[in-house]
Amino acid sequence: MKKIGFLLSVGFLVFVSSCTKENGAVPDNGGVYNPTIVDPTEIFPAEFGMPLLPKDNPFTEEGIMLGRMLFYDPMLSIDSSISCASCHRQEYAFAEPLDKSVGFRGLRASRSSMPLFNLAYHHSYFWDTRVKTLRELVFEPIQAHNEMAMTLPTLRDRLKRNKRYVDYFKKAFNHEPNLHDMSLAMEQFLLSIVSKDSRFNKFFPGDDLSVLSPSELRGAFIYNGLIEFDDNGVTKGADCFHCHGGELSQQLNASMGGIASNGLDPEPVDLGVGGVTNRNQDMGVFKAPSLLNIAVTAPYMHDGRFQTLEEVIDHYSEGVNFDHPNIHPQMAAHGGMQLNLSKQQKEDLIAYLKSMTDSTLLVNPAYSNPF
Amino acid sequence: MHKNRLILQTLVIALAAFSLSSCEPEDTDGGSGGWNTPTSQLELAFVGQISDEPLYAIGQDVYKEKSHGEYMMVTNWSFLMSNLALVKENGDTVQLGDGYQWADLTGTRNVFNYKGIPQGKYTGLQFTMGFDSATNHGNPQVWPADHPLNPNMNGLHWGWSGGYIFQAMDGRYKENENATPGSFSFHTATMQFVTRYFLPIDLTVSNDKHRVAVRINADRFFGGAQPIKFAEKSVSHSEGDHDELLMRIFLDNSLYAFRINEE
Repeated sequence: MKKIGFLLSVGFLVFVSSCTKENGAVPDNGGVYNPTIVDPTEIFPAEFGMPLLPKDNPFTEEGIMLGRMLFYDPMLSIDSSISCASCHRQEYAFAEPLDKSVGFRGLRASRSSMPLFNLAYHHSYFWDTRVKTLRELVFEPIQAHNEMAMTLPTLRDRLKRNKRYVDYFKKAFNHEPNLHDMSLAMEQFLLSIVSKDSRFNKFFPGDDLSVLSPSELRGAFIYNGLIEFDDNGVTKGADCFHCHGGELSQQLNASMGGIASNGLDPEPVDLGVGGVTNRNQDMGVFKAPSLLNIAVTAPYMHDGRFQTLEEVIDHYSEGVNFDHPNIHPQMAAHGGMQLNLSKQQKEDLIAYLKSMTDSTLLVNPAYSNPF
Repeated sequence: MHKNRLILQTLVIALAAFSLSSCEPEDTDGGSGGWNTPTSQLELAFVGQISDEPLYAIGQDVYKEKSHGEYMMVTNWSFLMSNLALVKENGDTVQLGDGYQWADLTGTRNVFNYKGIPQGKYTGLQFTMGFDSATNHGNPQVWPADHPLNPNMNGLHWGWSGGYIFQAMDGRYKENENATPGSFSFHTATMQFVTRYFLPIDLTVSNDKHRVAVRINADRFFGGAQPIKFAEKSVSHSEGDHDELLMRIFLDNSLYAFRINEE
């Protein structure tokens, strides 16, 4: 990742410097630019496997950089005050420390902003999984009245009038600025954000247990252990892994726990996925996020109700509402008994969760503000 | 050790690919009938049901009655197959694709199209729920992003070398129509629970495109000779004495849960 980060940074500097010259980069004889293709194997680590990438939007250095510029540009909001990065801040794994984001004229978003990394592996986006591609996703906050409040004709005109974007769109797509290419560029940038350098990710292959401290290792066994109560009502496992398992610390199959109710409330308050599908079994159900970088993405849950990891663990230990009509079966299939984890178990679990922080993601220059 | 598994896994895939390509026209993705045999298309659907009714129907109660007067609702039902093949009258098999498939009965992935099916008469469909040990415990990331065995797609891998979950069926139940719901979860895994299925069919593949539907009744996994009462036993992850016994009953019952017909 350091390598690709370095290459992208160097590439960006070369790109910017070339574009800021009077005449810009020179197209070929036919007046066509040839964007520099980026091999996905340079972006995605072998241990994660190769994600299913959009075939009609190959990575190019120019496309990724254009997407990165757009991501950080407040020009995308109606009053030029808010960029995507306003609510998705790199130092917080592209989430933010608010329960609900503050948008146009101080209006609040309806849910907390989700972190942005390893999105190439996701099959749907947002807490309610309402969009299936990142090129669709980008238009949602841009147009939301309580986020960036932009209108698409205005945005298109702004991009067309901006000399910098006229140049960059030409270099990336050989077109004048348009909203479709804008969404493709932002898709490329968002797909390129990868988090893989946490100690958890070094531990996960299982070949070197010494990567983790004794407390973290105990936490790993609790996290990945099944719930089985002994005669004293004690369970060694908390079964976190069904919804937050694998190298990505996330279940990607919606049916297998990728979307779930975790019993936050006795009945659905926010409809979540059910608000999109209108199916009874989806009411109050939400996407289960990756727990990579969880220590830097507080507050937690779709409504940011928990401020600390301790509060989160307390919920799963003794605060689950088993009455929720759509609580995930993995959580409730044990007779609706609270886990009642010990103080030591909770501390170990939290230690393990903290091992999932990828500090390189938080400062990686390949993802940082280019302006 | 890890590297050896990876090499073995790669070798198995390479051998499988060679054996397929050596007996198939290049423009087909299924069948092994030889160069001169006319071929046709097959649409194979796996349809989840409870008591012969759809798993879900908009506007209806999703709970359906099962054995012991209990009611059940399935929220998740996926399974992984290997050796998926049509069986000819003489016992020869025509492998469908590379023989692997992932059916998600509660999602949107349950209909599969195969080209290049040799024309002729077939008497059965066979598949194995689960894999050989090398595949099960090999590096799952060797599979392409869109392959049924890629864990980022199917979400059916334990992680590390724990292998795959061959089948996951989760849902909710009520002891009676008005009772407070509980949950059930049955996850089939480990080599001892690899299960082969043979479904008899009278299918003559001709010029036309054929559609074959495999209907699977979830309630029959918990009924039959050894009914499972959720109020007493509702969880098995295939490991440990209790879970292994329950999984064996679940799978024995499953042999009566499949129906197949041409549509």
